Amino acid sequence: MVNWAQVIFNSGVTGSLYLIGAVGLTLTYGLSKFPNFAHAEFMTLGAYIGYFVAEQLGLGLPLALLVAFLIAGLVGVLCYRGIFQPLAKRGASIIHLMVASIALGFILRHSIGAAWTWKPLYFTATWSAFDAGPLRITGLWLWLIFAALVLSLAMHFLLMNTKIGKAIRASSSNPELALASGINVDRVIWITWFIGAGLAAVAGIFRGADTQIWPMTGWDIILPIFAVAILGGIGNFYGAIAAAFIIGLAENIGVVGLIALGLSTTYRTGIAFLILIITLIVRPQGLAMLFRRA
Amino acid sequence: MDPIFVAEDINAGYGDVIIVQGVSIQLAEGETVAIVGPNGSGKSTLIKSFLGFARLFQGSVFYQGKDITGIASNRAVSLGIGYVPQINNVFLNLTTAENLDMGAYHRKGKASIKAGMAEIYDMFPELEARKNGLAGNLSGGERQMLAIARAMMAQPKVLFLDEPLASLSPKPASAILSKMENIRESGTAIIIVEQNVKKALSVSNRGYVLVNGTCAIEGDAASLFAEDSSKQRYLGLEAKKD
Repeated sequence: MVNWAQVIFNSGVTGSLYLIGAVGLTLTYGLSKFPNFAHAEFMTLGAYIGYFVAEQLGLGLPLALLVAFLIAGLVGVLCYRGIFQPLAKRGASIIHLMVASIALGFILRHSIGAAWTWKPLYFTATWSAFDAGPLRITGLWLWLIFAALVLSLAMHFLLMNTKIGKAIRASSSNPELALASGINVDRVIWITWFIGAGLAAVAGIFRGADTQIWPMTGWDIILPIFAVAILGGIGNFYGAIAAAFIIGLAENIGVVGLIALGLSTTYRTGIAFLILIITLIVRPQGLAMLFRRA
Repeated sequence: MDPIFVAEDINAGYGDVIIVQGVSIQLAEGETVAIVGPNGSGKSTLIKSFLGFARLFQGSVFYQGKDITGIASNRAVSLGIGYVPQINNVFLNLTTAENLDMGAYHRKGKASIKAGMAEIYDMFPELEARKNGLAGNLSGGERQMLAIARAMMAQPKVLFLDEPLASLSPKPASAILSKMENIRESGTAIIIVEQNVKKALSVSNRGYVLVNGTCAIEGDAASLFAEDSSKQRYLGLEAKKD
């Protein structure tokens, strides 16, 4: 007997994690015009910084989220300014930039492994599980859903009501016209990389707290996060919200199917991959047409 | 009168390819100047090179007597130079009002921007009716209006218009021309790049005719108008039938 309420709830948890992880990827992809694979390592870095602040310094989860956001944000900006911006100004193509990001990710991953070792770490704070009706819930999951909700509202306010938010949308859709309007597009890109890498760190902490922290923490979920960015439409924040929950739902229903078929649930990542492939074949622009004011 | 904008001996193009060679133009305050010529003559490349959207190989650009050669694209606006590209000239994913907001990006003070927007809506009443709609839903003529209105939000002293009449049917085209008259009356000097010679010269004081990247003739709009038709045909300047 499948507990469908639990499946729906779990989809919300999965979708929340993917949304927080994908916002930065899709926005920086839209502005800088290349997929940054090192986004995975921004998540991993966040998980380790979070572990350091929350566990080793014992300062708790909220402060860990804040510190990881700020440090990873700064690392993101430095990576963009130090590596990708100079490459782009020299006329690097999307492929050059993408390969550079894979290389950067590799370096970051192994540097993290060298600094903290590859032995998995665990948050010791216990997230008491409790029952609410048919649902089994943990405090961490509620925190995660809450964080995704706050993020959605904050990003909506930023993109629709602030000057910098409108400049992000404008620069993403038409960089030349943005320059002609007097927008400092480089600065807009730096700010977006800061926010994007910072949010990746937040996703990394939640993923690390829910499973384990090791140098592959981010890489383990980069595929579904790419699927969210592409299904949502590159650079489209609202599309990403819809896509995160569609993929969250597909994965969790898929897990039910895998169990019914007697297959391992480790195939769940394959579901996001399948959606990614189908999107690219059938509708490469993703859900963008549904959210045109993005 | 001292010219407000001067470009001297410009060589410009893209990558390693030089398209414009040795062209000089100038614009007096409050004047409208047309740069006309056949397709591929380098008209658009010329004005793009002033603003960093095409490569400037050689030459100097002065604005209000100051050397602004090689200025960063986004810095020109705050000095008072507006630019309306020929294509992709509105933010499709932004509303009409948000497009105007972007035009006022460098301006300070919410109240003055709001007042500026009210002035723009006075000049372009058709845009006010669509202010909360997406620019992507506007008609071709309305888009061109919005593109010009966005540039006007920056309160430019010099406005570059790149083929504003291209792909417009006669009615919206004449609407754009009458807006240009309003803009000139408000004191903004205009450089208009156009293939439609007759229409461009009809709203201009002077004109430059570019052929194969060099300036073939320059002079008063009236005298260019009067150039005999055989020469016009030779230059590929025959007015479009409309």
